[in-house]
Amino acid sequence: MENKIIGIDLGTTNSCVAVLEGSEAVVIHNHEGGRTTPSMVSWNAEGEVVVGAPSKRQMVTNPERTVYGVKRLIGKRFDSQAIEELRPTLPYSVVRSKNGDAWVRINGNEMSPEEVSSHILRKMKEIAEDYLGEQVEEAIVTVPAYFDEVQRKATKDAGAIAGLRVRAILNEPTAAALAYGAHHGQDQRLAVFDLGGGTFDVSILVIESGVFEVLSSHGDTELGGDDFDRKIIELLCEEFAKNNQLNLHEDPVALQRLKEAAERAKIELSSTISTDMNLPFLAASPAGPVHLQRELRRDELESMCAPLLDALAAPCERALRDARMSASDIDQVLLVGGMSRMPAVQSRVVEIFGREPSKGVNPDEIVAQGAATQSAIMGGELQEVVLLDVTPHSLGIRVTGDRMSILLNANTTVPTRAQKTFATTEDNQTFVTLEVYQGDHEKVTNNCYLGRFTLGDLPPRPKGKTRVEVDFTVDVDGLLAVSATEHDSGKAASVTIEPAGGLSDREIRELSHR
Amino acid sequence: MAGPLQFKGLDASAPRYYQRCEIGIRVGSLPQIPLCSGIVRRRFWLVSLPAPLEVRDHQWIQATDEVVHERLQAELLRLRAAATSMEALGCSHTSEVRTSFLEATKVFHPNRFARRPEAIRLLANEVFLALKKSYDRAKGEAAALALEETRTKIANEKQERLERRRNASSRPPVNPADRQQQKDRRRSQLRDRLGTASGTQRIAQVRAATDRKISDSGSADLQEAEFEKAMKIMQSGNFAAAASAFKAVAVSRPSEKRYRLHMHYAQGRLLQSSGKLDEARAEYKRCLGLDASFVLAHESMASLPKEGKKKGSLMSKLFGK
Repeated sequence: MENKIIGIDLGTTNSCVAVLEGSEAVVIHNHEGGRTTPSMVSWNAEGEVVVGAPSKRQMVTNPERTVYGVKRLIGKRFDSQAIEELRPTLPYSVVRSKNGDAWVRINGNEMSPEEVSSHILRKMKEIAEDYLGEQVEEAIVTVPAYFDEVQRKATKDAGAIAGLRVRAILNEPTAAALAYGAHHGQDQRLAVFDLGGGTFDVSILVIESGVFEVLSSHGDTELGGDDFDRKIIELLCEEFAKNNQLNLHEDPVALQRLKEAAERAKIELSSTISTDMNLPFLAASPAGPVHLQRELRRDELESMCAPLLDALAAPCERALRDARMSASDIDQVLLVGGMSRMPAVQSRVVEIFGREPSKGVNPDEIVAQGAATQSAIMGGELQEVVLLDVTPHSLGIRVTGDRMSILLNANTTVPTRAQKTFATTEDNQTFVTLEVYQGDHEKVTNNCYLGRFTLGDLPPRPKGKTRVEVDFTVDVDGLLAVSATEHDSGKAASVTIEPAGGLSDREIRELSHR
Repeated sequence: MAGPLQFKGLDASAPRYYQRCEIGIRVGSLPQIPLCSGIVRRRFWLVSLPAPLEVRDHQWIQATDEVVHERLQAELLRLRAAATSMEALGCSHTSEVRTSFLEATKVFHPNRFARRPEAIRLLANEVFLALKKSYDRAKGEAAALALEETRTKIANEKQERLERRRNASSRPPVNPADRQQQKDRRRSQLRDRLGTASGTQRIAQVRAATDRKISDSGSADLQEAEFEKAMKIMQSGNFAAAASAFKAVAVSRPSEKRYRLHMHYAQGRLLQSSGKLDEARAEYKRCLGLDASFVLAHESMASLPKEGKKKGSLMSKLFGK
């Protein structure tokens, strides 16, 4: 009997682990009794790592050494706009790594987001091991559907560092649909609306005789519950500055307390009309300690978050359009992610899809359950079900004039393959270098650079005479592999890939043995 | 039952069907399958083929790595050797394409082999890619077939409509005197309207007026029907009748180039059949003058003896004398 594969929903704010028991996907309680674990990693003064709820508890007193929302950093360039906007709002410091990625600095040590994530994954692994009473070595980890190639690769690497063989990188909305569809088996068309702590995804699926086929996927990797929290924090800081002439932005401890309070208030406002925010001794002024006491009403929250709520419609419409469907074609709308509990979000969903979303699934746990269900497909326990997912971004290469030549279009079912033939442009050229980009824009400068690869060992010939056929294969996890053959001889050309960022295999090995 | 593939050599009568095996098969980074190395050609015959899709049992999925590897390799060969995409999917009708693909997907999707060694995972990937290619192709073929069916349907409907209209348009005969009167009245009306216009303008206006009149009375469709009839006569091989029929249509509506084109062509064929080759050539040239891409005229021209040859014969005649 092989050991079990666990399903991990590695979230921005909370993570969840589930395992298959019989035919049921069971969510496992953590050591503190919670069904989800905060995705937080902190280091105490002695350099010891604390993960999950204990980390969250000490966050207020140890803000510089507590990393939360690391999922927003993973696989990102330090120079990217998203990181530039995010950086000032974080109490811990984000630095540029040697290869230009965004890393974090704790206690003077620079650390990759992969390594930070690996601590969370290791914790999830331990939770599962304690519950199952056996060694766990394999996992399925979920990522937002709109995660790109680099972010997927980085997540997989995080798993490897944590000592897990990541058997699949599964898209969160797809996982949710799988968990839902396993119990509501009839053929139907499903829209999954996934608004989590840091990311927003929408996927359109069709379930047909056991095959879950994703037709389209769209989203925003920079939109989530954190942004709603930040709106509340901004409001409170502004008011505080006006009333007390004190800038809370300079006080990491106060900011951390505000964040905690903002999150709690936001969650409470999903079930009540108004809530009290009470933060005694928030700051000190020459006149003595200053407290924050304020009532926050639901309509206040909704009006200040209106721009965020407005941003929800466009990805949904785009996904519907890509699936060649209208809202009326959808049989069921599935809400996933904690933020989908917010009444204003739900009413937006009703506006967009013209129907009440499905109740009766737990938006915090369904993704992990889906991942565990996927393990049943791999293990052979579930024979009549399979997932067909798509690649969310277009992949192409740079051609003359900085233009993008697209090889693989977005929303192509994976695995998939595309071929393209390249010719040498100079006499006796023995290698060709190609730059791979991702995105839909016709100018590569507006797309995301993934890396470049060099085709070597070409026979020296006059220009244009050597032709190389390049294969781009995207596997089930959405990861790209490149191979090349010389057209005339059929001889394989060597392919050297230089990724734009990420960790090398050696770095991963070193980190995993630490 | 799906044992390893066996190959028997040197049978020239191997069906065309499996000859595609000679295309090299290389699976990802796997070693090349020897059959396809390019040395073996043509005469090899697949002796045992994997079972067709509907009787495939799925138990092998749980079997040892060796069995799974063999099974996947056999499936890959089968998919690549299939003559048509429909055959690859194991379906006999376009309506089954989707179900067949979904059923096969449930068995061969790479996720099913995620816990197997790397080589099997890569192989499963290839199998699925081949499966998907067949599916996409079959989908395309099915769509083309559906389009063709719709087109034929529309064409048939149009034909029916035309026939109905033709029956309806057989009006009671009109007194010739009345007709003359009517003509005169229309002419005077036109003259009144165009009195002040210049020459070219007038011609344009008259043309526009005639066109309007034609389309108003619905006689354009009538002429179209006549034209179709003429085409039928042409196809039957009666060039004389066809030529006069085309001429009637072309005269009744001189603005339509197509009618004239076919009139000249029919004339040309008539002349050619009666041995008047030069005149026939002149007619074909007129056709090409109207439409240089008119294939029939090109073909018929080509069937005529070369012009230069005749000159040669004249010379030889002269010399002969």
